[in-house]
Amino acid sequence: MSERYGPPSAFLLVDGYDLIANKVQTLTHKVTAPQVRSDGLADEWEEHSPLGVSMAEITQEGAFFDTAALKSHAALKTLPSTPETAPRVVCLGFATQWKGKPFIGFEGVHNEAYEVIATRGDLQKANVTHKVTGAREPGQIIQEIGRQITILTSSVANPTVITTAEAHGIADGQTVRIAGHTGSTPAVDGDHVATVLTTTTFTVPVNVSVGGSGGTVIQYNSADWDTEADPIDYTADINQHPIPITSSSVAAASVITTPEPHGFTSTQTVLVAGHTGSTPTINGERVVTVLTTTTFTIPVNVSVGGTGGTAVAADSLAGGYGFQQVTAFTGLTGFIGKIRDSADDITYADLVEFADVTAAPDAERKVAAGTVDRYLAFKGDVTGTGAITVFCGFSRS
Amino acid sequence: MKRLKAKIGLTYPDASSLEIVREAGGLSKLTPEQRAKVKLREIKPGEWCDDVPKESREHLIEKGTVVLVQIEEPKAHEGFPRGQRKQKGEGK
Repeated sequence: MSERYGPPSAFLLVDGYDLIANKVQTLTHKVTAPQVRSDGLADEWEEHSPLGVSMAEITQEGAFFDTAALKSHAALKTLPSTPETAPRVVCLGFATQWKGKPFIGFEGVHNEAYEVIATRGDLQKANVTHKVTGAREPGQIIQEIGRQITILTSSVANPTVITTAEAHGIADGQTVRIAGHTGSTPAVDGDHVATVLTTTTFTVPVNVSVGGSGGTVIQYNSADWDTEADPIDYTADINQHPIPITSSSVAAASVITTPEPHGFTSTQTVLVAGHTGSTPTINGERVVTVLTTTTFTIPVNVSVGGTGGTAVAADSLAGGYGFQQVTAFTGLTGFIGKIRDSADDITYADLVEFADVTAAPDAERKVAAGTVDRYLAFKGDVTGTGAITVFCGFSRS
Repeated sequence: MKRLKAKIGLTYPDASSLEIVREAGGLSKLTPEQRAKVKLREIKPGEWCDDVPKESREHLIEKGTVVLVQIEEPKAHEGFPRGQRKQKGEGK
């Protein structure tokens, strides 16, 4: 189902700086495929041919000019001075900064222009253009930075049950900070370890005798955590297009025919769903052997053919890129983030291990090789006592 | 004898928790009550992981996440049994 998003849904992270905090007015990202005139003297109509290269560009306009630490000027002031200047790591998105939602990571980004604007009657603002030297890498968010969620109520219970106005996205055992909650006895404001009950309820270890209402909860991490209880499923990635199935044939290894190019690769695992009429059913995860662009076989001995349904890739074979952005880091002495993958949602293995982080802001893009399994989760290992906020996404190649 | 060794870090339910995870259909399908009962094994690179769930085993070997290592069986002791020292004059 398609969804629509408004301005609050956008996010922009540059080298660990969360630039949305600077009230960016406009954020664009543009991908172009430059073309050249290819008509000749005898041609009556103009012709253009693509050069075969693509270019990406990001612009942000109207951010408040702010010289405080971790704010816009610190993030944007540096322009590359030599060809060897280290590129920036940029992650942005337009469909909320929320686990499972799409994001775009960029490889080899440099600030091309930084423009500070002072206008009478207005606060000073800044524009920046980032030129991308390399690929645009779309993927899924695996670990979101904590955001403020509105609290509806706290219950009379020990431990008290906190009900939120929308899905809280908190992981079981994660540290949360409650602020502005009123009416409860005792007060529940402060830092607590949450136990998740449902997507909109969790408990915190406070014995509440009079319930309260209002306030917000924000999640952050102060202890080791992982998201394996709520992983990202590649078959639900909106960057994927489920391929319709025309039919399954009667054969020892049934031939699946699709009305459009399926784009699969032999040995890739696909998830077949909604296919009807076949004996036995072919629905479920299957390893494909590609015959043509619109046919492939699956290792199912089908005695009665079926029709309909879809097939969608359940793993990818060509590795990918992990992106990590650390926007806040206090008190801790170290942090190692890992992306983990699993084919069966039972055993998770390390896929990408980011370098040890000792300060914020920090950002890293890291390559993963080989097969990337269906489920992706994030694991954070902290050293010391303190708190951290981390964004992580993965782009499959 | 062959043993499984992890090439990279792994996590999986221990033997006593595996049935709960299987019944639920995966770690992400566990209810909070089930999750509280499940114990996970954390394996570091280079550690043995012979108890990896059987449904994951083949895929992990194929992917190179874990490797089968041939371990030499301890040879039967050829001399006197442990604790029995050869006495003076014996074996002559």
